[in-house]
Amino acid sequence: MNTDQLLCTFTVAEKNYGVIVDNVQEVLANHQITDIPLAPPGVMGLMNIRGRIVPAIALRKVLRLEEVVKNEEDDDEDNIFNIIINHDGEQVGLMVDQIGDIITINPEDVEAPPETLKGAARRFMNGVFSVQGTLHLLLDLDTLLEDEMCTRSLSQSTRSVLQ
Amino acid sequence: MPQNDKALQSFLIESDENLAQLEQDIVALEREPEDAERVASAFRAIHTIKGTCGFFGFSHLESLTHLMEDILGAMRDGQVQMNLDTAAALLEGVDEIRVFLKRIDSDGSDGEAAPQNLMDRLQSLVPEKADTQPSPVMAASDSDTDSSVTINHDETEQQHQTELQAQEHHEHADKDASASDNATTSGSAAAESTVRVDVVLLDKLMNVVGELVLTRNQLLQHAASQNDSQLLNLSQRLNLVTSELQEGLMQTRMQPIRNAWATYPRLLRDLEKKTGKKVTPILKGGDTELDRSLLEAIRDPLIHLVRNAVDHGIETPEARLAAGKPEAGTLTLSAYHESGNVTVEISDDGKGLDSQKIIRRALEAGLLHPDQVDSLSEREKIRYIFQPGFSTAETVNDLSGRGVGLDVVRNNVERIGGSIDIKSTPGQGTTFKLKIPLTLAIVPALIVRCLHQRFAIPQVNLMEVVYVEAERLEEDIQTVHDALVYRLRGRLLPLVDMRTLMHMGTPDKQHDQFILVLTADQQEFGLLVDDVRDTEEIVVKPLGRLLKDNPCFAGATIMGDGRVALILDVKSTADFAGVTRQDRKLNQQAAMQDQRHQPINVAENYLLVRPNDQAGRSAISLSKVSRLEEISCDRIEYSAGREVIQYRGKILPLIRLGNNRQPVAEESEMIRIVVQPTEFGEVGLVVNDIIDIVSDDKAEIEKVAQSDGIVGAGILQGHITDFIDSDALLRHYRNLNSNGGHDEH
Repeated sequence: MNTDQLLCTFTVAEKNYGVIVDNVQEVLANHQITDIPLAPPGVMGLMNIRGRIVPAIALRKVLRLEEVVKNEEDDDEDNIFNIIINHDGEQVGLMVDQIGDIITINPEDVEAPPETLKGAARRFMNGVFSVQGTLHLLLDLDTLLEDEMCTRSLSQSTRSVLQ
Repeated sequence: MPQNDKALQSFLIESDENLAQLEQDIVALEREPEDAERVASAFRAIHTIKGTCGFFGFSHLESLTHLMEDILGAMRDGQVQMNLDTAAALLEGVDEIRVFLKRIDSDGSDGEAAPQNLMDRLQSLVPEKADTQPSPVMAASDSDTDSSVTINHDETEQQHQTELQAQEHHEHADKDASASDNATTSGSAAAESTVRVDVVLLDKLMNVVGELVLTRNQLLQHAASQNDSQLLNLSQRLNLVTSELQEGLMQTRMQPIRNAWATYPRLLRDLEKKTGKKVTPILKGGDTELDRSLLEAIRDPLIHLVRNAVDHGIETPEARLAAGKPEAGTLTLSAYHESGNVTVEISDDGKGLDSQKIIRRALEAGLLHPDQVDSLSEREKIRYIFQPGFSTAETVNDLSGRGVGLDVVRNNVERIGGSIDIKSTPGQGTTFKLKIPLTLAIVPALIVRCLHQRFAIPQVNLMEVVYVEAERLEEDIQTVHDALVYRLRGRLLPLVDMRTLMHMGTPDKQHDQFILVLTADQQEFGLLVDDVRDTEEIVVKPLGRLLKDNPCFAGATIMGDGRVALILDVKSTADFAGVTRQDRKLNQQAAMQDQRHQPINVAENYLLVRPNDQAGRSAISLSKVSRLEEISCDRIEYSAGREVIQYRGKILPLIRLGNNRQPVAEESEMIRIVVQPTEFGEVGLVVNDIIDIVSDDKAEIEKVAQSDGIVGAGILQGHITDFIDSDALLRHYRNLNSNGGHDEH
């Protein structure tokens, strides 16, 4: 277990995260996304990736981070990146703000999430690691993709309203 | 022995087929022991299996098959007849061979010998000649049987006789074997034109063709936008070739439904034995073909329904006799094509479903609230048997009450885009009707737009499209009891606004709208969308795990421009929108209003025409118009001095009002015909002009000159208009005929 691991780092709402590179298939910029009515709130839409239909996950929503606040200074930076992940035989896209570097870490350097990390986000973390003094959170994709933000379609809950 | 692997595999496959044949033959013989062809066929099947076992050296299997061959051989020679005991033992033998084959498939060897008690039982059924103990060594080959007979040879006349018979039997067997060899060689000409293909390969090809279809769609769209005639030509050829390829490949995957039915005779036989009931199966339309993946998917649901029919539907012989029915129940399986689907029906003539009992059970199981009961129709009550956690079986047995209910059947059928329906008449029987699509992968669909998004609507669910102009929206689409409705040819059609339903926005009242009339589960409803585009063959792709419980979409497809479009699942959309319940409410509402003689404030639509040069305007109720046609005058023929045309394979009498008769009209001139249904069949009213379609709820018809099928006159669009009643018109026309009058009005 002491072998080094490659991580793909990225930022969402100015926070730093990482996922294990083995799961990452590719990264796409500004890919066309089709809305899905009644979809779970965390699923932004569907992408066509070379003939395969892949859902795009709005990490910002699933991690319960604040909505995009337009920063006047970097208005040319409003690209949306999609990290395409292979997960359990299916592909999903994680929508992120910025793609960082691919880094090598030793699993021993990953620490448990600090007690101060509260709220929804804590459930989705496998740990914390530091890259050149900046803390990154290691995402637990299994928990993340099973969260109700990703799985619960707007069906039963809204039904009474429609009647 | 890798080179043997292929031979072994084909032995396994062939033996499987032979066993299926053997099984069917045994079951058939049990009913009709005299059927010599069946005996011969059964003998051939077991003989082939036995022969090949010898080749591979599966001695345990061989001794078992040898015994069975002996019994069937004796049967063929008329020494014994099939009876219940023999059939039971032979069928057990078939099961045992299957066990052997499975073992051979996994281990490559036939392992241990067959159970001794089965061997003993089979041995006891072999007529006296072979009192040999079947040992692997002795039964290893045909010549060994010979020697075994000789060993036991006694000098008595009696035994000699037996030997002769045995030898005769042997010659028969050899002849038969060579006959079947001949059959294989003569069949090999046919075999050269057929190839066994691995299904995995076919599936892979199907995926590739799916991709090709998508690429073709994209290319076609691109070519249409370019000003390049050669590109256009080439892309159109590609289009044709792709369609042909797709169709051809689709056909390679088709299998007759008979394949799924092959196991039923045995299944029914076992069920009969277990329940003490008697069942006569009737199979119809076994040649109907289905995509093999679909066939695979309905195999278990069908078996479940068959078990269910015997277990719960058909009564015991005593109960049937008491009810004045034949002792044996009839189980009819039929398959046929119907409007782009395959319909499979399983019907029994048993006791039918007891809706009271079903409701009681649904209440007990908490599937239903007592308050709901009254509002349920009979059909809905019966449908509760498809609810999870429902089972009316009072005792759990190993037939149907295995904790797997009809809900699983329904789920399996619905998962492949099919539907299931029940009809039941108490005392007369129950029919389960399964509608299965022909194929899953590529379906024709209508592309529609709602706001900025495109959606695909499967054509199978689409009945028609109604265009509603923006200025008519307020008038034509009304609210009854909080539900949107549209009056479609005199019926109330519940409407669902796609924007509202999908949380996409508020209804559009400014622009023209389209109503898609959709059916699901025999309920019709209208879906309001913004625009209707084109019909396309779309390739269905799954939505994936995250979106599996989406209430309205079953899949997605990739459009010509590379974007994703969602495919509407019409049935779940109807459920989600609560249309089924709305519909009932509406009907109640309509019934109440009818009682009060207050028609719902929906205008009557009229077709305005000008019947002839002299006449003014005439109005025909749109509900009495089937179609409008324009035909060339030279199509008019005469029958009994009256004008008729050939129309949709029938003779359509033409009626002209007043002086609309122009015998000197040029042959090529076009005339307009309003086709109307009447109590006597369809008639065509010849008119000069079709002016408009108007809707009016205030038109008061005054009975002025009532003649020639005109019931009166009124004011429509500010013009005096005659109202035509087609029934009256036809009566008038008939009268003219019966009076022999050639008086042309």
